Amino acid sequence: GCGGGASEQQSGSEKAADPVKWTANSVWPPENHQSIGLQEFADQVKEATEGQVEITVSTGGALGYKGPELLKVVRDGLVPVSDMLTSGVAGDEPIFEIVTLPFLIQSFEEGKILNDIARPYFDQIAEEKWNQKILYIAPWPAAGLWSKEEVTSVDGMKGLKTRTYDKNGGLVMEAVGGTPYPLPFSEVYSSLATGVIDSVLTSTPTAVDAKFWEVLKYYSPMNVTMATDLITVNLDEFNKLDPETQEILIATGKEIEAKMWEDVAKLDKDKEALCNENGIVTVPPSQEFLNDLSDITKDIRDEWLQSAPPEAKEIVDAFQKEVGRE
Amino acid sequence: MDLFIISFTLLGLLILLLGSSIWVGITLFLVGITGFMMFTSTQPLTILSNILWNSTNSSTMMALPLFIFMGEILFRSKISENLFKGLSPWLNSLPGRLIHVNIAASALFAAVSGSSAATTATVGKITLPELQKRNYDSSLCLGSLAGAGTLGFLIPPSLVMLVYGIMSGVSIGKLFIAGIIPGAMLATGFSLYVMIRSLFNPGLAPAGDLRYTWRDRLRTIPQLLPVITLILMVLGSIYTGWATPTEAAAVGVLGAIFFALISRSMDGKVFMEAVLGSVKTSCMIMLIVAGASFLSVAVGYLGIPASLTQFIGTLGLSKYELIIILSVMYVIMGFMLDGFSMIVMSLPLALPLITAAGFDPLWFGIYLVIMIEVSQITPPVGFNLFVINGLVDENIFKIALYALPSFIIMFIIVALLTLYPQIVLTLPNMMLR
Amino acid sequence: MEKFTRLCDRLAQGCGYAAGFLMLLGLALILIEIVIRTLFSSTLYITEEYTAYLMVGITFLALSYTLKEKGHIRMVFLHTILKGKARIAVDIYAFTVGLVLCAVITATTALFFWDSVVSQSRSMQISATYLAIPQFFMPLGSFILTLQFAAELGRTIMLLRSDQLEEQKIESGALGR
Ligand code: NA
Ligand code: NA
Repeated sequence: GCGGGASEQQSGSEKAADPVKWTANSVWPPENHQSIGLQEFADQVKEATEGQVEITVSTGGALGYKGPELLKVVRDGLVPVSDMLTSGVAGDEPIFEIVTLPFLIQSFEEGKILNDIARPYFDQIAEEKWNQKILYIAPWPAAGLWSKEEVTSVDGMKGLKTRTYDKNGGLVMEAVGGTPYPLPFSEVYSSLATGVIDSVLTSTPTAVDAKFWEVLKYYSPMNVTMATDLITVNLDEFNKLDPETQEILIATGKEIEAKMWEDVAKLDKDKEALCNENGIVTVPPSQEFLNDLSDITKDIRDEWLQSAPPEAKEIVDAFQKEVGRE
Repeated sequence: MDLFIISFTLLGLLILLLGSSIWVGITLFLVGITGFMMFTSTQPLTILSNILWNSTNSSTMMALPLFIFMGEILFRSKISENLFKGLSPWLNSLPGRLIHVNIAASALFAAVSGSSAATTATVGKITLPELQKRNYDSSLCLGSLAGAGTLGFLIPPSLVMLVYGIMSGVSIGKLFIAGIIPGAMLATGFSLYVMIRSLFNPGLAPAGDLRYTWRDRLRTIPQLLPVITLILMVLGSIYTGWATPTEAAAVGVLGAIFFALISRSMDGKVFMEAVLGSVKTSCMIMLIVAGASFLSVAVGYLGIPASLTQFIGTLGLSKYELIIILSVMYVIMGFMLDGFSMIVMSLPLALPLITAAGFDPLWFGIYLVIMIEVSQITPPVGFNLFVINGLVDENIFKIALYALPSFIIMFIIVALLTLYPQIVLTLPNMMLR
Repeated sequence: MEKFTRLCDRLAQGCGYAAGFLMLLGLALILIEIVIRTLFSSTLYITEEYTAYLMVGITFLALSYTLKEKGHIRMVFLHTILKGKARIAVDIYAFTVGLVLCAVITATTALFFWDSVVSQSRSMQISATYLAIPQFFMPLGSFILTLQFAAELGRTIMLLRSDQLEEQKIESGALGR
């Protein structure tokens, strides 16, 4: 198959109009759930449009993109469709960092609520400022704390040497009195084995990939943050489609989004069970522990809100009201 | 099939530009841009900026200038004298005598240097005059140095492994560790060949009046100690997971500076030369890497790798047939191209192909390094040949002829590694991940 | 013309030193990180990120210096078979191609840089660095490389005019130490 705009000029179809051929970019490996979801979206769109919209999914960053630049890449039409980590593109559009504000949400369900409240704001900014339309938003399993010693309170986190993968994770570890280590994933296992670090902030699939049970004992599902991915299409490309096809894309996006939120909740449970089978003990955090974590990280959220766009405050306020906190 | 037309247009342009003396890196950019402009409706220039940023904005890449820097410092230090003095007493009684110093010193220096040309130059600048002085057969001397010098890329650290690892996503630490056993096998192969030749014709390595006692041998240990310490520091820290390759390179630089200082071969001028030399070489490699990343994205946009993999799939080749075809291609490419260009130009197409055929990308990395070693000793463009030509002023085609046995030994090792891939994979799979 | 080429050479040499300085800076950063990690169980937070920026700086600043030192690799097939004016003609052609491509790269990386300035793009690391700052190395280095290509081109044309077709040493390329 040809990718990109290459084949737009090529005919060969007997149909009235030439089929639209798009490339969809994913930086995740082909077996990752986000890549699988994107492929499913492509398949369903092709079926629903009777082959009029054909999306070729390119995984593993084969198109040369790393992630932070993807908002601009879709804006400029370098790829018509792309998956992007919502907080990953926040360097270009600060509001997207709201998804990974630490301890704003306390459960997977609350993550969905936050996403639903933020969605209209995200839609508007994506279309008006970044010339693209969000097709769907899909979650990652939320991040918890994996450690050698059992952790049941904020005091127990003091002095931990923890591998973190983003800015907010780092700020959290500082706030609780630990040391964040922003190591690349490839070094996590050996750093745990040699004692450079003693704990990791991450989600269940990562724990399974890295066989954490060989080097760690406890898992506290404290929902530090729950990342999401935006899947967007360049607005010019989208507007070239006839209204009927546009409608199909939107509807398919809705279906995939609903399915992905269900699938990821299940994926999270399955992966956790696998860790438990291999000997990792899940220590569910008490409500008190969660509240303490929320309190101690309040400054991180407030500080961010001060410099963030005004819409961010509206989203957070609406969310807090919905879940009945503060 | 119009992808064939596209592929051959781009390949033709590539050969045309390279042949007309355009720099390799620049050629890769031009072919990529042409691919985009002629065959897609995508505007390539913004993509070009993105790729330039993404391929250079990499902390892993910092290992490249640092390992080069380490080699530059050692090249200017007294390391070659010490290797020669330290190894001679141990090897003089073997059939072939001091010719083995070529091989052993190359293997040891290869373990602290990332490049084959540097290994050949560092070892050759001291061994070749010494061996000539003692009337050793020059075909065996030059041939064994040309071959053993290539160990610089196979025995870690290795600049080509770094580039391969970054472009293919294979762990650089694992690649480094995987090179140790094949490197030792290759060195042993070269030594065995020298021994066999010398047993039949002892005149090739005349005995002379050198006699060494065990006391002499033990006295050499302090001379070998700095190199061995450096090797243990760099490889040990990677193997145990204590340091990333980039950090190991930084530690290696520090060790090399220390060693150069105590052997009094370092001053401000030498230091500046080493700095500028490493900046120059790494920039040269980075330009090729960036150009190749761009070209690889261009062929990706065109869908060439997927189609090629599909096409090769329909031919129903066996694993071994595929490797034989690839090897022939690499030997042909290797006549004219340097190692870095070979990797980066072939990788976008070769990697999906061999993964689909069921080869481990880690194994393929080692295979590729040996193919690059082969290219170092095949004329007209073979960097080890250039280096030796600079040292002894012998025609490069003649040196290549002397190196022919090494060429054959390399392919024997490749055959062994293909039949028994666990030779490559066992050691890296044992290390901490 | 001679003044221009001399000036470019000096600029390229300066860029070589600057790139060398950035490399030493990277070395120091990594070593400090190791010391802080092993002795104090702590981290600088920015080592990974800033090492990567330094690598961008080294690569782009060194481009012109490497060209001046004939460090960029090319096939010397034509150079070995051609002599005199023919060889100079090949050089003029090659330098022109290089000049044009580098001018284009300068323009596009300048736009890329400017886009980051306008949208105030920041890194998603703890430092939240404005990406435009490290990205400035790209148009800067490409521009100086363009100048160096112009200087090499000018020098070659002068060589053709002056009729002094002395034997140049064939470049064997950088040896990749
Ligand atoms: Na080496
Ligand atoms: Na060759």
